[in-house]
Amino acid sequence: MRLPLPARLLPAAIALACCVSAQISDPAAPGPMPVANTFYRFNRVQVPAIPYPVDIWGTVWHPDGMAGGPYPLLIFIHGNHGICREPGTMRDFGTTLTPPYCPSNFEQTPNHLGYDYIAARLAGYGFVVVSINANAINVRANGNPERGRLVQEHLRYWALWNSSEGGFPFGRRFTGRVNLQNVGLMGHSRGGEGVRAAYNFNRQEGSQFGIRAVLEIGPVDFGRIPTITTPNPIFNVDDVNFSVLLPACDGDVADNQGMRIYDRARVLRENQLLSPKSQIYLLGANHNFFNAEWLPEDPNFQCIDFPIITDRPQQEQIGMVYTMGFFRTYIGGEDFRYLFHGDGRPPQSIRVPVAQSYTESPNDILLVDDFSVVKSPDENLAGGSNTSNNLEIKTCSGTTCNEPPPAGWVHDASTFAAKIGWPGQGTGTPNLIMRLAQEGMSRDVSRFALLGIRVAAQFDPRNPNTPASQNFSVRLIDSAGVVSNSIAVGELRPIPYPTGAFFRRSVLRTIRIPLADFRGADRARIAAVEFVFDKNREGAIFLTDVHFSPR
Amino acid sequence: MKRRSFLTFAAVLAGALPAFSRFKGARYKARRAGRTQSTDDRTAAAEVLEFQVTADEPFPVRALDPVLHVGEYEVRDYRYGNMENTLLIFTCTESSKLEENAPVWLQYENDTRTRTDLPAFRRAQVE
Repeated sequence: MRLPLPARLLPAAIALACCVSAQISDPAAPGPMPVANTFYRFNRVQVPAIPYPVDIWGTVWHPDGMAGGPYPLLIFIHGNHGICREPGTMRDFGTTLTPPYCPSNFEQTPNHLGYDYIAARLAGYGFVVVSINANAINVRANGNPERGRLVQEHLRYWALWNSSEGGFPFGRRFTGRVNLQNVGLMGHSRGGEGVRAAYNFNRQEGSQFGIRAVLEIGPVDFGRIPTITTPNPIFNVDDVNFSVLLPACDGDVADNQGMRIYDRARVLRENQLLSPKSQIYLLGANHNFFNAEWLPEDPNFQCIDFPIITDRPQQEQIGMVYTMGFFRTYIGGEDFRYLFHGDGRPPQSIRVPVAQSYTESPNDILLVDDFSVVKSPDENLAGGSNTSNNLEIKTCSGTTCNEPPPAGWVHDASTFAAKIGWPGQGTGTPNLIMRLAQEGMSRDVSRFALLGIRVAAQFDPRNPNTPASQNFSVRLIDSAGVVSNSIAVGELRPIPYPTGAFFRRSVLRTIRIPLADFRGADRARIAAVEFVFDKNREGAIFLTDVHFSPR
Repeated sequence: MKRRSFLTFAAVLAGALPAFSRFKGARYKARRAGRTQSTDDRTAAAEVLEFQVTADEPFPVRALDPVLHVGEYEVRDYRYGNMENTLLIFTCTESSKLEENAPVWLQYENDTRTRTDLPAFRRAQVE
């Protein structure tokens, strides 16, 4: 089989992926405020719904002096890792003691300090950032609901410290200075599912705290067994701003199961906070380097076709840019959305290709087709027909999307896609016409600003050898039959090729096209979206989430 | 250039850190570890088995949990048995569900790179 990405072409891949539009500002620059840090620790506390004692232990970065405010509160939590460290090394081990503490010839691994490099910078922009230690939950099976309960308990302590009475050990230092209705959570690895649990427990209990943004880095998704089609609602993220960073060279959560979280969130209707969802797939990034206290997860591990990051500062820069950009946007009210919808180029400090998936709140978009209707691919979600010429097309989800080994499909079982190959058995230019309504009808899409799709190349010899160089066109047709100009999708953003850790996987990315770029067709009377496979003689892609977006 | 630096880096670390692959020298022994408490008159107390899985290298603490497979049955309750982390102890409270001669293997969740095959389960060898 012809490989889609010879290693010798990596520079071309990087160039193509990195440099397609204008440079925009970097959210990770040092902030304007001087910062300070402190910590708190209470040993062996009984916390509701955790069946064993845990430490309430956190490090706090905040604006020096805490004048002004109230400042938003961010809580970070690490994942499962050794908790006992050989003194003078970074070698960490699980413990034999229950509850899990360390023998006297070890010291406790400061897992929570591994995000100081982000927390200190964020404090400079007026955030109170708490990174909590969850060692007492580590080195045992799962524990993610307990991680959520631990985050809740820390929030209750912060309610005390923010109250007029204050409390030990801070007295009234934080009284009235912390905005507990503007809270963001970040969890890494198992901590990702932990913060998702915290968010859901909080809203199940009446939303005492205003958790408005959840960010996960390389998370697990234990609550969703891939073969079960009904997700556990404790682990969903509707009604909250959400993003997940997926290190493509993750040598621990090697199947990038965190992508299932975005897959589910992208279609959940929202009742409280209409909020965007995004997924950031980072080529080269590994699992452990996001935590400065963790050594590489697997020194013998290599990613397919793309070099794993071995330079810790390079990956920490990625962690800073996306974590700071996320919270400065969705908690701080600044605008770094370009990092998440991917319409712009990442800042220069990001030196690896990045592929985003993005949607505005599912309430705000017009989803034309995600290939989930029973009669798909012949009928679409908007109620119109899909017709094709000289094309192979079939709908797939879960294992039916699986490509030939060693490629795999790891999107959530709820995600459907069209598996498209061309040319088919017919003649003429291959195309797919997706009608937005029944024959003879049209839709007014003038209130929308963009046409978006999610797309990825299959692991298939019909795709070009040059990486990320598959391409095709899209155009609009109005009810009078006027056809707009064609936009070459692959020239806007690279169509991702199957790569990743351990096995090849096609990871869908969102590509959005300004409707203003489609000239000629009347946007008040759009009858169809047409995909024309005219750029390469043959090819094979996955296509889904064809939608119109207001921004 | 990056590829070369990675390989050098990996070579330096390979001797010091566990790699996520099959575990060298892995073996196990099973032993009876008591009986579960019966919760009512109709529930019989069940025999608890412990599987002590040992290797020549540490079992890493990572995002994915180690799972001991005994045929179709997955033993998920585990703890470390020594501070070198070369001993994992799995506790099975449903030992009646274990099939004689069932294949036994250790694997971190769905990470098949780590699948480490062990001798088949035989009740006669339970200590």
